[in-house]
Amino acid sequence: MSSAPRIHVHLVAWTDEPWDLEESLFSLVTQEDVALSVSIAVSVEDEGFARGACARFSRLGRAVELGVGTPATWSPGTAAVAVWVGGTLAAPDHLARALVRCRADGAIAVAPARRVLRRSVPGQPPYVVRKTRRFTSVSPSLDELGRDPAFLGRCLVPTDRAPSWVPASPDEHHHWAAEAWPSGPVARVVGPPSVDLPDLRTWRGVRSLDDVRDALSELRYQGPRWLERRAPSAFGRIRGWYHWLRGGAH
Amino acid sequence: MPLLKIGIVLFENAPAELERLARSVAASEPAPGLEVTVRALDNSPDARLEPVVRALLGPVAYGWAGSNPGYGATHNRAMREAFGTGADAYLCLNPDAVLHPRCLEELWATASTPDTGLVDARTFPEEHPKPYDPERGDTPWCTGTALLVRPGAFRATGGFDEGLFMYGEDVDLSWRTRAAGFRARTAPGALVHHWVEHRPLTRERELRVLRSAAYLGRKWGDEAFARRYERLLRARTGRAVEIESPPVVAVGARRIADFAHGVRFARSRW
Repeated sequence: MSSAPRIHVHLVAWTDEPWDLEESLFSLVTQEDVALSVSIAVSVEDEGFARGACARFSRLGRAVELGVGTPATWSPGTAAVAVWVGGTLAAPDHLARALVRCRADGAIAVAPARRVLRRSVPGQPPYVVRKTRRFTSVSPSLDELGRDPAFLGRCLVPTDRAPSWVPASPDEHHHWAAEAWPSGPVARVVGPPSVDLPDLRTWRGVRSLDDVRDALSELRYQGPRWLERRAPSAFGRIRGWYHWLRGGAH
Repeated sequence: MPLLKIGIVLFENAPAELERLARSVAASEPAPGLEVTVRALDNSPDARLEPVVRALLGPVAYGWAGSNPGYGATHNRAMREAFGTGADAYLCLNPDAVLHPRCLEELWATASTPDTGLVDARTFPEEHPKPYDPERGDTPWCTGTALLVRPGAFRATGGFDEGLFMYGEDVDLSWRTRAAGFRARTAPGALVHHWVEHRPLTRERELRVLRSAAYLGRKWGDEAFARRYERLLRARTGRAVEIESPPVVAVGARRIADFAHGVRFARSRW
């Protein structure tokens, strides 16, 4: 019996792409230092595929309970809950780190994330065209997060703040979050992006200041990498000065 | 019956890591009719991993080298043995990896065309940003985390360049495989869990990367690239560092090498 804290993740399939479920499940069964219950909501036609995936992944022997269907409420004994859309991926330590943040002051933990633009390929997994960093404020609002339909995949909600019903459609995700958000603090998890969200937006143009912040966040990451590739010596010097200045500040 | 031999090079690995890997190998669904065997080659200073490996992978799976000749040299020895005894493919597999249950099946399916020399799995959850052709799988170079080698490619190239102790040997092997007329491909459906993003860039690792970059530049005829990384190496170590003279690649083959994207050796998708 695992003594690790239990997290319930509800995984919803919104696309017709079976690989989205497959990759999200592989990401979930390789999460570290947590015990997981995963419920999977799929269409009737995809139930057979989902059951097959559960059987495949259960052989990896991790502390994960996998089941197909939407439960009436969250599993008993669960410390926190998350709702993922198929295609969401996370670093292996994402849920454990988010749970630490939740437990500090009962906050809803929001992990830094990237948007992943994919292209469908017949008979193959989607091809990842690009990943871009999203700006995440210290206490993210629903307006800031909700521009991504799959935004709940980057959030971990303490069970006592989670609405007792389990959301399915994109509208339900927003309603569910709108019930959870006002009940207490919301806090960003410190560190680099640990979640990749499938970019399911129908409109990708600039609509708000948050979109500009996203672009700047990506630029801040890509700029040094561009310099590193083009002029590694200059990059090395600048990096040295940066660390020297940071060291000097302490 | 076709035979796939998996080779795992060890160096003082944690038993828990090997247990994860062994469980994923056992949970694999290889292609129907494909026979799979596993061999662990231990370059650790002592053989204390032997009982762990034997318990996890079976009584004949372990071999202790007694020294550490490097990743490429160890796999070369195992590949010579594997292809000498009739293996149809050899999989270089990192000990800190976890195979997706369908990884072997997908790798083997992609490797089945006669012009394919190398096939790599997609690393997960952080996929390598180098591009690949989404329909055909062709890629500038194959990563070594889970790298399937066909006998033809091994015979044509002689395997890894043993002058590269660590880092860049997969890039070099891919370029030489392509120069020999074989394809280097990614199997999009083959996933291998390999999480290294949290590892700090240690000084030792950084120096090895810089040395490999300079070596590759010299070997593939880009002197400016080689000098740039030699200068960096000198700046990091504070002294002149001698890069051993690599076997220089023929001029005609050099067009395959890509030094325009730093040590990523290919355009990055992100």
